[in-house]
Amino acid sequence: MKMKKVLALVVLSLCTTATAQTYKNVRAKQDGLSIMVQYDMAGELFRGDGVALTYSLDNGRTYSAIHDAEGDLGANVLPGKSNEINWLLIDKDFIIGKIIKFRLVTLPEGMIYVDSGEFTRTSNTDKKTEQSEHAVQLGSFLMDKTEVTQREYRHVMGKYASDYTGCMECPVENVSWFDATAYARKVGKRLPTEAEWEYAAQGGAYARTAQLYSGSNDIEDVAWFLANTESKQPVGKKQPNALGIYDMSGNVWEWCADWYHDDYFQIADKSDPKGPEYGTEKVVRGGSWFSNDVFCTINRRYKLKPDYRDTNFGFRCVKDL
Amino acid sequence: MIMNKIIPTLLMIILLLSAVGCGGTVKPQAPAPAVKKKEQTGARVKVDEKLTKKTVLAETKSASKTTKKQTAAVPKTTTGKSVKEPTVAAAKATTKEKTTSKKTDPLKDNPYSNSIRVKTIYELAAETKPILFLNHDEFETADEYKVRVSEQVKLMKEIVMMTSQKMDIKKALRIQVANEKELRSKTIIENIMAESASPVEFTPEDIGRYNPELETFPVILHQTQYQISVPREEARTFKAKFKSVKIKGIKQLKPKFDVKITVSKAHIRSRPNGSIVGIANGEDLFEHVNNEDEWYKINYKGQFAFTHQNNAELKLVDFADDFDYRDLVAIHPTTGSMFAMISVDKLVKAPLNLASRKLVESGQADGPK
Repeated sequence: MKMKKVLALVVLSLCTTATAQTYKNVRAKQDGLSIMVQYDMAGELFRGDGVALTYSLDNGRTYSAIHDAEGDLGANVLPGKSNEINWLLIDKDFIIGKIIKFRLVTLPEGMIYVDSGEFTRTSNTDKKTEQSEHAVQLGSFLMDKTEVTQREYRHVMGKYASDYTGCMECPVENVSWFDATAYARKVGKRLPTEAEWEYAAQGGAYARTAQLYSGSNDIEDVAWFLANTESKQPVGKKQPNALGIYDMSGNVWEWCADWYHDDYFQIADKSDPKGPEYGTEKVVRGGSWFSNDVFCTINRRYKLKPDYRDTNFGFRCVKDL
Repeated sequence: MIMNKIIPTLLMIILLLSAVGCGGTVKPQAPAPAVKKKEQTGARVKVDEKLTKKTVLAETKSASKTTKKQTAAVPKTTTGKSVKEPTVAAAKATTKEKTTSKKTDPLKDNPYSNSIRVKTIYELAAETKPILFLNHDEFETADEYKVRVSEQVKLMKEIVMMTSQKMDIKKALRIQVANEKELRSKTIIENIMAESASPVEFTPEDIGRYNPELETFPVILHQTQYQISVPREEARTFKAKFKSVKIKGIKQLKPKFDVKITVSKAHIRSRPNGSIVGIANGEDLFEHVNNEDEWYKINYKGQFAFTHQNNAELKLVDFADDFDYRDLVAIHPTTGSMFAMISVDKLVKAPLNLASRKLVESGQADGPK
């Protein structure tokens, strides 16, 4: 019996690794003011997926994505030995003189690499008018570029979640927290923690200035909300935020993985907080087409019973690296 | 029993002997090549070693503002009393020594590493021409030193320029290699497809209702709908004996195309001239499904969509496991007349979208239950 189990595990692990890409022998060399990174890649990329190069300045603890390198990057990279990437270091003073490490990751279609980093979250709840600020540190992760659409949900779950109105590219709504979690699990992802959601909404490591809404201070630029629509809208039509993520403000509220607690961030771990252990309500963020502009702000928190469903509550997923 | 006593005593003797041995010739914990160097060259090299490090890393106090800017990240070294001011001869000696040590140390032959320290422009320049980066000593006039500093700046600028040029050359080379690769694979695909062409003969399994106006029979072969043009006078007998009808033609491996967007932004529509479902950027690639008039039907994020042929071009990327049938003719079983067959519509499977692809990957069933 034990042998059978072991065999089954081996077969399972072989099956799971057969489809994924692996990057080995990632090595770098400085060539003048550029860095040449070579790597061996096994496993073909799926259409739409891409290879991304990330670097670490803290001995591999956190990694940031490199967007301006050239070579065997992005889609259309073929598996093979000694794939090469060149990265020009001119005007990159923050790297010069430092010890740098590289890592390659596969970016699945429709997902964005969110760099690790630190952000300050500002607490501002219904009950409390005064604001409090807390620093939060997060590792890098992947996040869906858009909210999960009706089409995607239908494909994965085999059913419509809502009173389907014919817009397949609109965000799925009428899903409970349990429905959202089940979907995420089925596609090998998970719901974002509240901290991850807020960090990504702010623009992650690319956030230059604090913005009211995800991507702009003018809500009209980035969000579908009460004043400009009477219903949910197809995803990705408004301006994205600094990370390239759409509709984090407005369209539909987005379920987060965390239980809700008013003062959670005041007592939470600074590093990668996962929410309170217990609770009765789950966090939803971002506001919806049925919300006033105030509810679409980045720092606005809201809570709901996890089995609650309505036409303005949807979700997006994240994936660990 | 005897063995039990002998083994510990033997171990004790070995331990004692090793202790005595170590006490006699204490070896330093430094790496072997360094020790060798010390033994060979003596005290003079000791100074030179320090000087090498110094020449590479030291920041000259009087260096110009521009060089100071570049060297912000270079670690500072303190000048020891015993170390003499570096001279040109010393620098030459150290570079010579450097090259010899490079030859002997195999690890240094591989410049790649998992993690590297990114050198400053100052360090790079100092490595290229160490003489230029020596300290200002008492034998150098102020003018000479000024010239040297300006040469340092010039060298650093050259390195920046050379890096940019190298990158441009590499980019051009990469594009050239990619184009050549594409052309090669295209030729291979075309050759394989040409070699796969062979005559084929089969009988239709079923035939549709005759259209007397157009004088055609509809027939489906290999998921493609064809019209067989049969004149009315032969149509009746043709249908009666259709099971003996022979269809002849040529079969060839089907090409697989990608639709490559050739303009900076292209509208992706739900149907020809239909509503816009997305915007594609230049160089974006989509799976080609088929052509409809002036439109390419594509797989856009797991759904059928269209883009105008003015905005894109077809790119041969592979061949399918399936065959294309061409130059098909149907032969009347009794009269022997040959009738041309025209393909009308290809029946295409719906594309897999991202979510269902993930399900397929994870071995789970797709679609509604």
